[in-house]
Amino acid sequence: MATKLKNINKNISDFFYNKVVKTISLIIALISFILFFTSLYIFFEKDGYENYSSFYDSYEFNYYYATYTHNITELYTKLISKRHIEETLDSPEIFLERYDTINDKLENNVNFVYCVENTDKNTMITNVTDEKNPIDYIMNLPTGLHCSSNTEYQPRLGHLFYDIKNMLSATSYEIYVGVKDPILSGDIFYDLFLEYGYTKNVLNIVKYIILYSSILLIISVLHLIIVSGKSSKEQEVKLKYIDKIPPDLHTIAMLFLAFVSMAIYVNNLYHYLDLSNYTIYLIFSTIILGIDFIFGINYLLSISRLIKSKKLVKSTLIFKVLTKLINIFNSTIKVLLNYKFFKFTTIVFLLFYGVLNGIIIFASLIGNEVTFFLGFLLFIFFNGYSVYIYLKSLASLSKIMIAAREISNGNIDFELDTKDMSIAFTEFSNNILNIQKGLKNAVENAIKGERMKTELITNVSHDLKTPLTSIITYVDLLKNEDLENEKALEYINILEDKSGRLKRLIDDLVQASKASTGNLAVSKDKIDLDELIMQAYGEYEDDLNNKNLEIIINSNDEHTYIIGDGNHLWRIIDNLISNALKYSLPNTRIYFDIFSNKEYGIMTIKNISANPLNISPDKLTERFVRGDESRSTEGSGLGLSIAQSLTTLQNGKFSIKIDGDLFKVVVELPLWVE
Amino acid sequence: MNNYTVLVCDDDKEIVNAISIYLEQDNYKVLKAYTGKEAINIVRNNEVHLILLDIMMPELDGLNATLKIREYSNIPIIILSAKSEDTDKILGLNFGADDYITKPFNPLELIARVKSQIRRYTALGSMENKEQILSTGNLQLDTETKLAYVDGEQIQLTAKEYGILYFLMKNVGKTFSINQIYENVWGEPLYTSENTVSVHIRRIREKIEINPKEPKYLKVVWGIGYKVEKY
Repeated sequence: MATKLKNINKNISDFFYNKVVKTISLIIALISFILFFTSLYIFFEKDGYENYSSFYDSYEFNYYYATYTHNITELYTKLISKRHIEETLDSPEIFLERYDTINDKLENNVNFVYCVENTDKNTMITNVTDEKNPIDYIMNLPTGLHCSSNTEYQPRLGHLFYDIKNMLSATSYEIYVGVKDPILSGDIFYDLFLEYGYTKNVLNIVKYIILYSSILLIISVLHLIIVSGKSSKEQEVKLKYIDKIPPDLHTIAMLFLAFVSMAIYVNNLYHYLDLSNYTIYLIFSTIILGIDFIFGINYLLSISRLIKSKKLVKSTLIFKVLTKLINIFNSTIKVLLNYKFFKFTTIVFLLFYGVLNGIIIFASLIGNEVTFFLGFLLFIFFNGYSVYIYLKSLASLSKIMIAAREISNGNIDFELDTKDMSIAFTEFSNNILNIQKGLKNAVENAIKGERMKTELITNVSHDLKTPLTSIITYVDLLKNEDLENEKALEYINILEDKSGRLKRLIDDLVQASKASTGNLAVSKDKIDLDELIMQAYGEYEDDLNNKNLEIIINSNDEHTYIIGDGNHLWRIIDNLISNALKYSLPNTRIYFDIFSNKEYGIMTIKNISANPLNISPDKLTERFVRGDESRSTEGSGLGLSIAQSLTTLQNGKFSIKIDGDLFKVVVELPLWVE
Repeated sequence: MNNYTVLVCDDDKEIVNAISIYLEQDNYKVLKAYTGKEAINIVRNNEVHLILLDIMMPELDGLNATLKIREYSNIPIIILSAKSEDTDKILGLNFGADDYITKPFNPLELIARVKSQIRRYTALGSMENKEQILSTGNLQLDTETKLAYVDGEQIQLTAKEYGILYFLMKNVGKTFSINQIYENVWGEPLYTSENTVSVHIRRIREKIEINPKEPKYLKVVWGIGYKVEKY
């Protein structure tokens, strides 16, 4: 039950790590990011719209309202006519232009109504054509207002009010202005009206978009951050290529990107913020925000992966530079300081060098040309001498390094020239010479030792065999004597048997020690294992028949050629077959298998043991260990050990496997390669 | 029944005595020496047909004695030594000895070798070098009578044994694998893995060799094949 719950938990948590889920989350994050910032920007730009209860409250409307009012006032109180301009105003060209401009504007006007009254002359100029009383009509409009030289501040006219009032003062003009209600299509006021409507609508939606997209954005980004770098909860965080960017560099790049994006956005988008045709704005916004998002989310996730894998600090450039500096310090200055000889001289020299150079430079700079020249000379001389000492040291060091290399390559008689050795390195070179001497001695001793060993073996065997020869010979003579004493005959047989054993033992011992110390000549010939086994079979046929042992030979290929020494191989097989002869259960079979793998030709001999083998294969190849623990039968106990040594000498492998009564020897030898 | 004299030289008196007993049992006359110098004196002043010589002796060792004797005599010299390395044997034979037996030895083998060497040395009425005779060392094969002779003694061979020996002696010194021998002697390729050839070889060796375990003529080149040594 507990495992089931655990599994369910695991499945649930693994769901979040799923690549598809991550991708969906990413897309959600992207969309909500774009929506959020686009809407946010709109919201801030159109801030104020909150407070507009109607179109007439909007800034845009009042701006144009004030401008038109100002234009009218200017036209009818100041400009009046082209002639008037030319007659009364200085630099009339400008005003003529303005005259034309204002007139053009009014041509295109549809909704702005005005009435300019001259209270003195009781005349009126108005563009209200279809009303009996234009002034009443205008004042009845929701936006209608009256302005004269002594009107109070009209907020709708904004800062232009003062200029307007100015123009009206000292005149008998009074103006009545307003915008038609309802607004008719065809001019700027209509356009503004439409835009107001759109904006109000959009803003309502925008508020909700901001809210929901921010929630989605936070959730999806959090999800991505939490699951970043792993494909299941238990996994270790896997870093991606982008994580190789040092995080501090990455952060700076991101800041730069954000700054640039903001600048572009604010500077350019404002122009595109025409909400009656918001397509262009959306496209532009999406592109910029999209790019920002891609870089931004990668940055965030990279940082989160680095934090999760605890590699954040170590990946920063600062850290790496610092560690590099510390390493440089450790590998140079610290090492120098550790070697006693250099410590004092290094510090002194570095100080002296630095100070002296500083003094020279300083002195040559503050003095006149003469001191400068002198200082220059001193500088050259001093530094030149320093370079010379440095090069000499390097040369000495190179000599020592060459000697060391030669000696390590085996050329132990290489002579190290110690004259002209820089004093910093004399101790070093002497040490190298000592090592070399020691090495030569060791090699000499080793060679001597080997020679002595070989001599010892042959001498001992010779000295043992001489008296043994007498024993064997006289025992044989005894046998040939006419002895009727049965007991005596029995004793003589025992003597013959044991002395024969002693002879074999000595031979085997010499063989074993030569084989195991490698003091044997080993030739590398192309040997056919099948031929070898056949030959051995021939040699032992009679003996095998006497014990009723049948030999079965299985061979994979007709010929398996290996690299080996024919005589040693014969010795090995000889040992193994004679072992099999001695220790096999009569009337059983002995199996020979010949096959090969990629590198070795393999020969195995299997037989059933007559006596139980409660011994481990390793112990059997030890010298003097025999399968028959009572040591009652013949054999010196060295056979397997010799066979193993001989196999190893020919770069082969020798192993014994025991399974109950089944005794198996595996001999592997390197295959013959053309 | 033979009037051959053998000189036995070894610094070990018991060995000399023992060998003498064997030789005298076979009706050889025995002279004894215990140093190389003594051996040389005896050879100079007596008619000797074979010398059995040890190497490690005081006052002139066996090898140097061999050298000295060889300056004026061709008497067969068999070295008898406990030094059993191949290098020792090669050294001994290079110094002029005719044979090398290692101690401890099989007395019967010793006597057989002595006989063989003397026979060779005193070979009277040796076979003419006819075309039909293949020979190497003291092994002769008469291709017409199909008989083999070792040291003049006739050896009986079966047809196949003769065939194998003939093939190997015709190409004396060359090594042939079991397959090759079979094909040439039996006339057909060897299909099954029988040990016919190697058994025949062993039987031949037992017939013609003094010590089949250390053959002089028909040698096993382990892992490669068999050959007849060229002398």
